[in-house]
Amino acid sequence: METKKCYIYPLFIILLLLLKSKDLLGQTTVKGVVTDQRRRAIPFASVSIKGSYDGASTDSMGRFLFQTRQQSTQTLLVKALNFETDSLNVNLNELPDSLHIRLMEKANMLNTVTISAGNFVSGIQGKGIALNALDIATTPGMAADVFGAMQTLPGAQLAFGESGLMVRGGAPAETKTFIDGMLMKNPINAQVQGLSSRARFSAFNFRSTDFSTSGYSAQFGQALSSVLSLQTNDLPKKTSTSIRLLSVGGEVQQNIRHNNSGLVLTASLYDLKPSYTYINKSQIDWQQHPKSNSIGAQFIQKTSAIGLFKYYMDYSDSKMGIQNMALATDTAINPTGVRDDRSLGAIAIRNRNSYINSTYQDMVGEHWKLETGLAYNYAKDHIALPLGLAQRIDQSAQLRAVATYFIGTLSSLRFGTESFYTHRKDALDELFRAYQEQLTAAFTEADVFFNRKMVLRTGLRSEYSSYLRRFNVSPRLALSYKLNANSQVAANYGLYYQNPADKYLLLTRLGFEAVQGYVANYEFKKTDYNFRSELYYKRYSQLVREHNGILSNNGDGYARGLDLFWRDRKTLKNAEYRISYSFLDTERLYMDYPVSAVPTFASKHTFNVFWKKYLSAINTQVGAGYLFATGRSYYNPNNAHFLGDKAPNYHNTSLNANYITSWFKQLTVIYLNVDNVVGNRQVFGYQYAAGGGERQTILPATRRNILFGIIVTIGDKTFYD
Amino acid sequence: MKKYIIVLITLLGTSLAQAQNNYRETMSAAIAALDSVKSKESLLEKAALFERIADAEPKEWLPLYYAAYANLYANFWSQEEKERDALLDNSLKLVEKGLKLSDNSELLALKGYVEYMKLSIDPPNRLSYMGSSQAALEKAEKLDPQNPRVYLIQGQNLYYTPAAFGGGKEAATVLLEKAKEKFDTFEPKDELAPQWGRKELQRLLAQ
Repeated sequence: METKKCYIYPLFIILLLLLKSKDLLGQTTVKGVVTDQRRRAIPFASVSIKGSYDGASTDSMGRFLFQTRQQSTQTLLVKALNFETDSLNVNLNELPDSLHIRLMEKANMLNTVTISAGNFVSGIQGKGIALNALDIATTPGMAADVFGAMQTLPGAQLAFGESGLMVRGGAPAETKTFIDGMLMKNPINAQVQGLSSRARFSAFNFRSTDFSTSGYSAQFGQALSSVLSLQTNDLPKKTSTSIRLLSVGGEVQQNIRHNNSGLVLTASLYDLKPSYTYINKSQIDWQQHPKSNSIGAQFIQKTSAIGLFKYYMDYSDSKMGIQNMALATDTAINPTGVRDDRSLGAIAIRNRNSYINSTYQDMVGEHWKLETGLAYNYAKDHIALPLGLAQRIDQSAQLRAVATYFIGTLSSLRFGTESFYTHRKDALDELFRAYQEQLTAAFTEADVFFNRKMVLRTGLRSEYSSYLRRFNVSPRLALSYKLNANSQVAANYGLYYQNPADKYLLLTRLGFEAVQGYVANYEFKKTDYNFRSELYYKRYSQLVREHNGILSNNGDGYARGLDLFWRDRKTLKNAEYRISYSFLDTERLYMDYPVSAVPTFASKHTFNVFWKKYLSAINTQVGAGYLFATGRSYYNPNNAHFLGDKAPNYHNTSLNANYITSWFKQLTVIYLNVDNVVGNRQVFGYQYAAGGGERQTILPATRRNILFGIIVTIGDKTFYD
Repeated sequence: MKKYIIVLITLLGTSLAQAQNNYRETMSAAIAALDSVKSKESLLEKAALFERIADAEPKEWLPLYYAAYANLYANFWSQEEKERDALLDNSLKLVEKGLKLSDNSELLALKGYVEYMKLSIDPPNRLSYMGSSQAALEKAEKLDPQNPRVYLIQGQNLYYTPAAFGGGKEAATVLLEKAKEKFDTFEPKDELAPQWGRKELQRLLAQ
């Protein structure tokens, strides 16, 4: 017994010692320091052994120290806010005295260069120059029109009786509108020459708008000047109803949200008659006041974390007519650019438009994203002309597929193809002309981030037109370099093609029209300040010319200029202002111009300033805007110098106020907008009768325009989506 | 002899147990420590600990919940907008990660809280958080109408929302009273389940 005890006791001691020594041996101290790439300490970084709770946070000097019982090779996880998570294998048995772990800063908007030249992204929080839906709805002087709001950005011209966007010396037809990547061929309601029409869609249906004043992606084509790319809303956050009533009409929108799907139903009615009769005195002699009805539906189904199926459709019916525009209807004597193909001197026009757009996107595997789309558009116009009744039927369909391969966190490679079908028929009484076109395109684009300071986007797009029987190849190149935390420089080059206007294609086969664009950009961006300046040069070639009755692609032209933008959200308390200025020097020889001249849609200087302030005491946002544009050229047959006359300069001062309140516990915004407060006479230009005797002044629809409205959202406290 | 062997086995046993992760023990100690933290630094330290536990226990949502909670509270100690945004973003990321494991009332309520804080940093430009915060809280209520934190957070959000947007003290009080009622009968499912809120409620009701 004694011996046994003696025998066991030391054994116990040994075992105990073993256990204890195992403890001593097994308890490893891990210490070190976590810094960024420039050896600056990262405080509050978390360092841990993967799969265990062992770990610690770094102190203000970036130091950490902890003990672990883990053995041999383990994975050390290092995490810190705003830095990429790092994991490294360490052998705990052979640990150096102190580890030095360097983390990479996470790529974000502040530290990473962006592809920015020529792009105005808005609506997405915190990005660039944001005009959210309410900003668009309440831009002073723009009557809640999407195109109107975009016209206040640098590079765009104010519409003087034209409809759509005229960008950097480009005609309205040179800007194309895309919804979720799909072309919307007829984005504007019924149009009559000399009068601006509204966009047929509401700003509230879109999550973001990307307005590219030049250098747009190879994903898009058939636009010489600019692309307006709109993204429809994702799943509505809640089931809610929005009612928007304006003195010119109204909209009702019902959002229905299910778990992974949503339905948005919209109906709208706009009629300018009450406004032009009782509120504002119209300067136009209307036969039919502008009026439009539309209904729309959007179905959204979330199919996975990224997977999204969207189906969008709308139908609209719009009309307008003017009394006795005998002067304007004789198009033969009016060779100015005002005469675009949507308005051929119409007296009254009715437009019916159906549009369907269906898109799907999802990730395929970890690195591939697939986007597909299908769109169809049917537009029918009935036009009462002095010489008879005309009808126009415009059908188009589009099929599109894009695959993107993501390389690392920033770079990507994109491939895509799309095909557009167009059938266009114009009839006058019993006579008609029609043409049919199938345009097929393939494109590829690579975004290469050399590092976070420099990115290169190269793209190539090729199109084949069955009607023109021609190919085109357009290269695109954009380079951006980040100078420091707040500023970057960028440059881009691109070659862009577009089919000639339908009115010419109905007569004969022609070639593509083309433009080459060069842009240099400097941008300074801070949380509350944004400055950008852009210099550009565009060379137009192969423009359609109508000379001595013969159509050819012999036209050409140029546009060059400077765009400046400044936004400040800080200097003035609770207020923000933005200023934009555009200088434009352009001439072109096209259509029936006898010589090269400044087109009628180009102001040399455009300047506008907007200010808004939130008065919290009365829950009201007040705003003011001043828009200025130098007078545009107009055609005077009495002047030997073609388009040598200039209309007077344009001034417009507008005021608005949005009062935010709650009615029956529902968020309500009441707004008032007064356009041209001082009521000065704005003259867009003149139109002459044949022989140059009589002339008629082209005026805006009203001299002073008062618009008011109310937005009520039921069941949700937000109206921004 | 027998005694020694028992001691030996016990010693061996505790030693082995120490080598494994003791989830419940570590969690309850860390949760208890959360109550006493009085600085951003210690909150972030706790947040890091919860994140470590979350990484080691990929099936548990509670470590993610508390990590998100600690990040949210750390944001109250910071004056810097950029830092607050980063903390709240991290918090939201953790909540979303948790929701993938368990779509429950507590996580959704917390989400509604964090999103409201995101909104409050720059309200004119972030109104869209209002809708998603509300939606999260409404779903949280639907999943567990007895969860007092749902009403506390709803009430708190309303309290700090201007009356013009349907908020204000009056509107908030209704919900805060409801939260008080629910707290009176509230029984946590277990010791690790969220229990916070009574202090916050009293403070708001006293104001």
